[in-house]
Amino acid sequence: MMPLLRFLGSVCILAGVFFSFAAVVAILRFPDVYTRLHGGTKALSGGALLILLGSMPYAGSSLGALKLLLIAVFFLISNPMASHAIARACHRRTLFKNFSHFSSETPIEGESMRE
Amino acid sequence: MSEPLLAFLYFFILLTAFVAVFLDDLLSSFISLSVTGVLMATVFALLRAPDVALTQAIINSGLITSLLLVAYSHTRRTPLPSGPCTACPSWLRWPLAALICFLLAVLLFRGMYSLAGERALETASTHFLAETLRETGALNVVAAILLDYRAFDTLGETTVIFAAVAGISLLLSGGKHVRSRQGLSFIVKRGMALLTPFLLLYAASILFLGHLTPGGGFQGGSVFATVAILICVVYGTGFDASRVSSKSKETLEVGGALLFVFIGLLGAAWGGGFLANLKGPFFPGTPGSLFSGGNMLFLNLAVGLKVGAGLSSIFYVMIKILEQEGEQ
Repeated sequence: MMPLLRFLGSVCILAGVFFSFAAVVAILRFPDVYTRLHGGTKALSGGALLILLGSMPYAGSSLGALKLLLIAVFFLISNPMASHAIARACHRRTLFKNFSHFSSETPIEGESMRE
Repeated sequence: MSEPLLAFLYFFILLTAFVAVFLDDLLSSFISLSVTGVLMATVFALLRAPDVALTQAIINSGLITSLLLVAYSHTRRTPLPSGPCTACPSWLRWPLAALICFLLAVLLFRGMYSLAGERALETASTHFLAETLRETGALNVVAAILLDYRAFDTLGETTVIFAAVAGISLLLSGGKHVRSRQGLSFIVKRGMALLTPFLLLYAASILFLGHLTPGGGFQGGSVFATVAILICVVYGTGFDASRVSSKSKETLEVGGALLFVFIGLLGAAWGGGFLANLKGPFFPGTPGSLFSGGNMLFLNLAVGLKVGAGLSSIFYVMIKILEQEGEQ
């Protein structure tokens, strides 16, 4: 049972490394804030979750594996939240006017400054 | 010890520190600096210094970055002069920086190999490692040194924090209190509400189990301050101020200092000297239980109150002025 779990863990870690690498490429290569955030958040969430889940068989004890699972849950809540806050702040400050991708368009009026 | 991993981390610590100094964009420098902090925390954890690793991770990546960001938004930046630098000619600058980096890396490697041998453990540390449990009743040797053998130094350190808080509050105290109730969006507020109890529980566990596991008053207080900063940012300063006013933060901080001195005087009154632990009125308890290690639990509580209230009130004072400028 354990060798199979370790093999699955290694596969998960390798996939996680690939997704994290894709996130770095996305942050460096995508044209504007929103696509970069999209690439960064999605690929990095997936990558970090896969790495955490994949290292669970290597934790040594079931308590250690449970801790890794809790870290994964924490990451699943906090990372999208932070990206949402960044995206909203960019939208409110209309930062996207500075990027060539959106230069011909007018800023989207949708969200008021105050709730 | 995993030497290739450590060498890799040393290289990246130097690289990120170097990048943080030489980048023109200050915000990118802050990010690079916080990466340096995380890497240093990893190195400390690998070298089996979890107390220092905790402090490094919390202070450098959480608190310092937020304080630097607040300071960044307070200040104006002038563009760099474009002419040639007169202090150091440009052909010399990069080789000089590379040379300094290389020498520092050599020193770090030497330090790593001297730590690996037995030679480093010939001094006072042998006594501490052998006798701490008998002399203080605490499992965590670092906490025993900070709060028993060197408790007077810890009192001095907390006084330094007190002076820093007083100075910053005095410098930035002008103007009226404008409080924002705006905060971030609904999603972030709900998510923060979901996470806050766990963050507080984590901070309390670091604080109250400081004499048993890595951590202690300083680290736990810093996590409390980080939670206060997060609440301040997410819900707006008005929410934070309506729950815990700056007056009560002041009271908590002064209460921490008074508790520390009171415990010290209690030891002196028992005839064991100022801040005496087991020679004073305190019991060692069973090793590993919550009420062991004599006065360390209470000293951790005092330091945690002081550090948490002090650091969060520094942030509150700094962000208060920011909002005055922003919302006019």
